Amino acid sequence: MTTTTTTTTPSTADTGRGRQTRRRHVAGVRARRWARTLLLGALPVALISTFLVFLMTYLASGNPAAQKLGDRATPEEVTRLNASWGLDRSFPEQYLSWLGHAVRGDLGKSYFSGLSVTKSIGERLPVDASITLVAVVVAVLAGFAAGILAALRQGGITDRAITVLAAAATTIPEFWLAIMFVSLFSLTLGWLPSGGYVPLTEDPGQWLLHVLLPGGSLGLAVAAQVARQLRTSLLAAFGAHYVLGARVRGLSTPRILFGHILRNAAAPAIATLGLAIPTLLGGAVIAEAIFGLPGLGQYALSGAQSHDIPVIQGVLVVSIVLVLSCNLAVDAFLGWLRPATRGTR
Amino acid sequence: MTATATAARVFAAVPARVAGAILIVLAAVTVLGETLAPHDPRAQQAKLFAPPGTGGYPLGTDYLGRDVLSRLLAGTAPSIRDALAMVGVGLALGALPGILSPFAGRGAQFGLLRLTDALMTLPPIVFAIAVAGLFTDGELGVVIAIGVLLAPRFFRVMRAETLGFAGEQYVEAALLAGASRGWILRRHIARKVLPTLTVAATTSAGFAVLAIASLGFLGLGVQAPDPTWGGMLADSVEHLADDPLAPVWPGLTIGLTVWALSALADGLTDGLARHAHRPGEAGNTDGAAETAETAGAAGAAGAVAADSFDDRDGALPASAAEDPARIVPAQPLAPHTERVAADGPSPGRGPVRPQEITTRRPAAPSLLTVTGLRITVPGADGPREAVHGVDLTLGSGEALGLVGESGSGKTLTCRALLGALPPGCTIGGGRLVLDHNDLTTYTARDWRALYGTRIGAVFQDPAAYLNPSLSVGRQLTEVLRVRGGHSRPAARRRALELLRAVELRDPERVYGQIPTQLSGGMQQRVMLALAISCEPDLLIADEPTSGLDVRTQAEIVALLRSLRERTGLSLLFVSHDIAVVCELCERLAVFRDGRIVEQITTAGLLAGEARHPYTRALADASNIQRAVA
Repeated sequence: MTTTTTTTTPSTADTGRGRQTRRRHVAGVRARRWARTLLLGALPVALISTFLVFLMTYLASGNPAAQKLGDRATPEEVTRLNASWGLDRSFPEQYLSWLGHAVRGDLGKSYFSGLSVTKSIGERLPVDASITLVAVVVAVLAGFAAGILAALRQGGITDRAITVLAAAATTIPEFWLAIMFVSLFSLTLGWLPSGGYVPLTEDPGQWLLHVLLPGGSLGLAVAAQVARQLRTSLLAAFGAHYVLGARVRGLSTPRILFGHILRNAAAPAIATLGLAIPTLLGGAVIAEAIFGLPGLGQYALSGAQSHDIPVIQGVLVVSIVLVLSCNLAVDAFLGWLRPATRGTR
Repeated sequence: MTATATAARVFAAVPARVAGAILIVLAAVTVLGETLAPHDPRAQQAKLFAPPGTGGYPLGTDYLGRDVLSRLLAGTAPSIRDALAMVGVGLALGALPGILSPFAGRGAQFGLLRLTDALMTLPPIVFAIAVAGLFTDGELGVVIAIGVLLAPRFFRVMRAETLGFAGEQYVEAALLAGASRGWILRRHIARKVLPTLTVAATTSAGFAVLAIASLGFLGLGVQAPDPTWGGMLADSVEHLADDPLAPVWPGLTIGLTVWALSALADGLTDGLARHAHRPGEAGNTDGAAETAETAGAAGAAGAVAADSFDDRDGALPASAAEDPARIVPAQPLAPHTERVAADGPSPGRGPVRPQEITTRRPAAPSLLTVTGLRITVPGADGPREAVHGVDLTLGSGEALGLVGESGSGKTLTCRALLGALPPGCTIGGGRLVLDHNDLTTYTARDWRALYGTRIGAVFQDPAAYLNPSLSVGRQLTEVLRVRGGHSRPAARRRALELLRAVELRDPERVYGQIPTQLSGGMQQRVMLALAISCEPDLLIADEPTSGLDVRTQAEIVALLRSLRERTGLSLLFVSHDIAVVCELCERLAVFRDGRIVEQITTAGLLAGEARHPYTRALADASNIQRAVA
């Protein structure tokens, strides 16, 4: 999450002249806030984190050509291969060239297979994107349903059951649930496949069946966090003055809850969801291992085992971009949800 | 504070005690390690997949015939050891920079904050895989990877704490007294920061245990054949069909460990962090987690308040100066009235009842009768009565003012009439009769039928009673469509009429704005538009002009008076300001200590006929003759 804190801009005086310019002024303030978030928040963060990635891989790179060519290669061959990868250049040169290519979407070629890293990641990303998407959908549906129900039945048996379950779900590793679900739904009941992946473009029905277990189990872990957060903020919001205001206008309880309270009280829960994205990506990596899915995590693991620097760099850069884009999307959504606090986080 | 007293506070709650017991067992297992194990955790026993409880294997054996309990016990030490090491790395990298960062230059602070943000974008598991591949896939690589990613947590928590303390008076006083920064840090801040740091470290340890399990599952960290909890889970997946119970044991072990750490963190928050709150020292030293959680909401509220305040200061003198006619009621409003009446979608019950404009009805039939109203409020020593038998009547089209100082029971009476007493307050006796119906018997559903169409309400602090996130137009059209039965386009038209009727100068613009973009006076006008949107018979106005500047206050009073004249509303107007009440109401009831001490007509009061000394004191204090003249 970016932490750029911009104060809500005081509006101009409501003078006749100020009035005409004010609407434009407000739009301008919003645009400037966005520019701030992007330029002072996301962009430096992206630059710093990618630089850290490059620095780390540079320090660890060693002598990949010797590793690839083996003992029988002559020193000339090793030098030539290292030079062809650009490893003979200075650190700033290497970094700038790498960054320049990465910005244009070129993450280099695997040292060992010679395949384009961008293309390989592009082939594997849909697997993790599918799992994460299903997880987010489950987290929102289950988390919001449970959180709302617990808040409405505060102190009751439903509330206590949800609270205990949610607390329990945050203490176990998120992939543990996946293992138990495979045991139950695949091996015992035989309802869902225990592994494998079918691309969405090939067969949407089979795609859903295959990603439901990994995505759903990861999503439930996040749903627990969302439900806890939502319950807390809903209970706080029930006593808010604007709720009484809406009540004495004669609006029904469901209308007040969904139309008024949720809009104001959902922000912390949605922020929780945004903060869980890095965890979800990690969870997807493990889910790949459990369900034998051909995803980013398997690519990263094999790349790490073979010390394949471009692969490691590529996976990290793509993860950073994913997390940052999700953060920006969450920021934008929260801004739309609560325009009064747009830009103040 | 003594150590034992602190410990007693930390372990006051049952969960914290259970957690403490679990953690002591874990510590013992970590220290004693494999000597506790009944079998060699690496040795293959005779029987594969032995069920729990058979053949001297309390939890059975795994796919290679190794004793599950022994493996769990042997896997404890590396988990705990690595988790502590990760927290140590995180603390070392994050805590001190966090404490010092508020004292750094702006550029350095910006850089540090972006650096922590950058580290937080790295998904822990993916990052640990990369570090393991680049450097070492043993424990060291995993500990460093996760430890580095824990650092931002400590950095942020410590920075927030220091920022919170640094601005406090005693720190500033010490600075003024010539104390060096370093001395202040050691002497004051470090001592108060320590409890928060302990809580953050405990929470982070739970996170670390989960991360270690995840990485162990992927084969990173402690390597086979040495047992790890994560590795046992990975093995269990391979043989799930043969042994469905296998994942349960490591799962439970991890779950209990993480739960114990989080319950201990809760106990520490209660015992340590709260304790740091000492008398004579202002400021919030509650747990950092709590601070972080509420920070968003508080910030938002703060922004709202600041915004409306800025607006009010800037906007109002200018607008009033520009259009002085606005504060003169009645006459200039006539064109409005006709327009609203002509355009009104429901002519029969239009907002204007012409026959009522010309005639005041002092002898009108009673709309509302309150007899013997008693209200009980929760107190420190159980419930106590705050309103002791209030009697009121309000005629149709009449305006009654309730005056009295704060705490005299006028607002509680109002809330009772709205069926919206604050939580814990109850009606202890009496009747509230609106049109022959006793409101004390009303259910929430019955009340809802009254709201908007029979009773409308405006309050003090309109900003708080408007939804801060929805445009004025959305809030108005919602009520008009849901309660008034208008179609979407009709609701829009009517909403604009209402905004015009409450004398907002640019209804189209206000329609699209959110409440925080409006000044306090404009917000109260919007509240009024909402309250009268479905043409109620009774408007309850609870201190609607308090908190507004004098000029805006006069405008709102004038608006209320003109609304009464145009629509024939009955008005129950609450204020602590007797002068304002006299401007608006025919009669007033004076509240004191939960009782009405006197009811008197405005004319009578102005003629000096008040009998009760308190009424006379109020009248004298506010110099009403001048105000009304």
